[in-house]
Amino acid sequence: MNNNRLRCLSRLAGVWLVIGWGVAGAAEKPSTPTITGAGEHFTWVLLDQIRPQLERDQRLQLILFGKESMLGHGCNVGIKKAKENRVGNETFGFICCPLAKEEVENEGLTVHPIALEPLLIIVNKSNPLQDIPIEKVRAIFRGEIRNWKEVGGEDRPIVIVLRPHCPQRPGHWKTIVPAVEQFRKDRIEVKAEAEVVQGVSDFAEGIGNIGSTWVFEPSQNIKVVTVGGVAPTAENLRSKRYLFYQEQSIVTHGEISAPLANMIREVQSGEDFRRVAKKYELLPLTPALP
Amino acid sequence: MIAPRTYRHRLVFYIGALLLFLVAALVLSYHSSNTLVLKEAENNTARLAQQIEGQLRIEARDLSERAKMMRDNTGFTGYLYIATSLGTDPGAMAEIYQRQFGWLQIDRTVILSRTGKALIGAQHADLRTTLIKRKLVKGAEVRQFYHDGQRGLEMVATSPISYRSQSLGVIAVTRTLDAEWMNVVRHMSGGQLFLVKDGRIVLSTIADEHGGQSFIPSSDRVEINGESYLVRRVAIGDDTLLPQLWFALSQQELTAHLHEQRNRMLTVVIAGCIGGLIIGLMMLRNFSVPLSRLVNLIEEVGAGRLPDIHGGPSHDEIGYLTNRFSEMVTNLREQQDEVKRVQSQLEHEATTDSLTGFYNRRYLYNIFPKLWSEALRSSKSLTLIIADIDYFKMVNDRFGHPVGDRVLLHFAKVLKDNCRVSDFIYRLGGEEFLVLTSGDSEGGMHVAEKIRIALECDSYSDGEHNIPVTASFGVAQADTADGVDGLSRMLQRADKALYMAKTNGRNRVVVWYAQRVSA
Repeated sequence: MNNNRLRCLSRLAGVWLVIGWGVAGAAEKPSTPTITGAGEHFTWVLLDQIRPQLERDQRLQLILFGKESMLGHGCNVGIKKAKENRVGNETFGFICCPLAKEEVENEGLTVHPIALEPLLIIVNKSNPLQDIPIEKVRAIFRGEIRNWKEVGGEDRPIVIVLRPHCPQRPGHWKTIVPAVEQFRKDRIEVKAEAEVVQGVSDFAEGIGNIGSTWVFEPSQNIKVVTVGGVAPTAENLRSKRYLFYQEQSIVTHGEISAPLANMIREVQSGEDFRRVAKKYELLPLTPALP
Repeated sequence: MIAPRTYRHRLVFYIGALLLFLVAALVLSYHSSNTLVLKEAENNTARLAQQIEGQLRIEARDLSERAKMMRDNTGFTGYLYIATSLGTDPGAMAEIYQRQFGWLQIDRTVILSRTGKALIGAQHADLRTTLIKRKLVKGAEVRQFYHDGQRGLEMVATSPISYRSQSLGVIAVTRTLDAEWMNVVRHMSGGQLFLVKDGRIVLSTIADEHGGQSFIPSSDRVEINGESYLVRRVAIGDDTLLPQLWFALSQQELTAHLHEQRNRMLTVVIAGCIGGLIIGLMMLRNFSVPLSRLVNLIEEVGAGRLPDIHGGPSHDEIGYLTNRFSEMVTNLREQQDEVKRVQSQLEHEATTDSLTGFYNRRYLYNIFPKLWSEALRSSKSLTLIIADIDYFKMVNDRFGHPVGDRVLLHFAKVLKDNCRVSDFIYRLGGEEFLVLTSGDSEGGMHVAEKIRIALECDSYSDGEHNIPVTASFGVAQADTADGVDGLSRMLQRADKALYMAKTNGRNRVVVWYAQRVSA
């Protein structure tokens, strides 16, 4: 056997080895399902923090949209994304408002409650007040109290910064004032949660509300006041001593795949979720897994 | 105008004309440039002033767009609404202004409420006063105007501002036409700018300080510190109380630029002249000289001479032409030599006998007058000897013509060996020969006898044949009475003597004397 034949045979063996390796690898490696979720910012914070664990434990790839509240992400985007759910294109949405019964039925949605999130009452850091009684908070937002001196503060006009989102749905800011018409008219109305925080930071006289999962920037002049001496904690939500909150939920549409169902169950009751919920003072709505 | 005839002359003429044109153009432009430049500078001053006015219009439009940008920002107007309606701390306005518009190129911003309260820019009291005076606080239109305030002359754009259809006041943004702006415009236009108020310079782009100096233009010119400027006013509005903006071009700078340009032009023209001369000389050397040489050669050839031309390894057109011409002359020379050679051969063949090499009868008749004249001049006699081989026909008949020819050659050799060098031998035809010798008939007889004896003693022999050869001879002396054309008569006399030698038994010599024959 000459050298040329040996060389040809060795090359042929190499090609078969590569092909065999590829086929074997493809057979051994199961395809990773990709699940896409979108929605409002607060739940995004929660999901994003447990995403590595979900991807690892549930063996899936999780894509989330909702980081930038300035980009128009919100509950409606969450519902829209949930309705895109198809076989091979698993999607879900996340919302911060408990949907109305009619909306759930009409849209064919399924709501998977996650947690209650305290709504923080925020004022400018220059404001000397540390606490505002609950009725006075409501009176301020209704415009019945228009100067800080009426609640023990400085003689300054009160500036309300409000994002009256999802007015057709119950919960959220409606726990403070039940209807947008009842809010004070001469207010700063904004389109995004970030603008609420920025407005209160800009105005020394400002006041607003924001979910507890909001991450404040050090440069912003913001502080959280207690309401009637009650801090916005999960325990106070559970005991119903703190009454301003919103409800975080995952929403799906139609039949959902097993990986998506498993992921939602893990979010609702998993250990990692409990850890994050504790960090942000969230009150889980589903008992923990045994 | 007399046109140069040769290329050399034309070349010199054209180069000279080119140089003359360059120099004339230089002189003309040198003398006319001053007036032209100043006139053009006046036009430029007007044009550049218009360009600056256009630049100002663009900047005013941009400034208005910035005012509109603030007007149309709902977040900003929302803040304004709250600030005006509630009377909040102005810090919030400053914060959002800095965040939203801090990057804009604006010198001053003033926002006034409808009551004239400054919500932003309270420190700019002069501008606030102007806005109130112009009744812009409650205005409804975007406006532009110039304002002479704390910072000097500045461009102002205003826009009414409202929130949810509720008028809040007015936004005013400014761009100051300060030293920095004037220097930018100076860099762009290349001229100087003067801001003049009440006939005095307030601000200028001239390096030296001229503030407070008088500025009173006359016929679009003004003198400042002994320096003359062409000036044109830049229109910035109809308000006569505003400072005036003037654009100026320094005449000294223009003159300096003119001199600089002249020197450059002079350098270019001199370089062009030198270049033209060098090119002309090179053309003369490389083109005209070889051409002249070729013309001379052609003239020589035309005159019938065929000079020896040494062509070089040149690869240009003239070199190629010379080389081809050289080859042609060489060929011509060779053909001429060949013609001469053929002519000489033909002449030789026409006058000589091809078998024996002796002259023939034709040559005898040609040469005889000359020989006759020479004989007369030297007082010598001429004698003719006609020799005829005996029984030669029998030799031909018996042995053949080739042997006959060889017998003729044998006889010719005997003739030649026994004649003098000065004797002329001719073959008259067949076996008949003639010897023309100087001297009288007595001498001729001795010569003929000598030949006859030699022939008789020397038979023809070629190894195969041994043929005894004899010949008969007739001798006749020329008579002066025969004349230059008496050859035929002399031949007749010699023939008669020969005939007698033949009839008397052959192999003998018979001399023709006048009235008698002697054997």
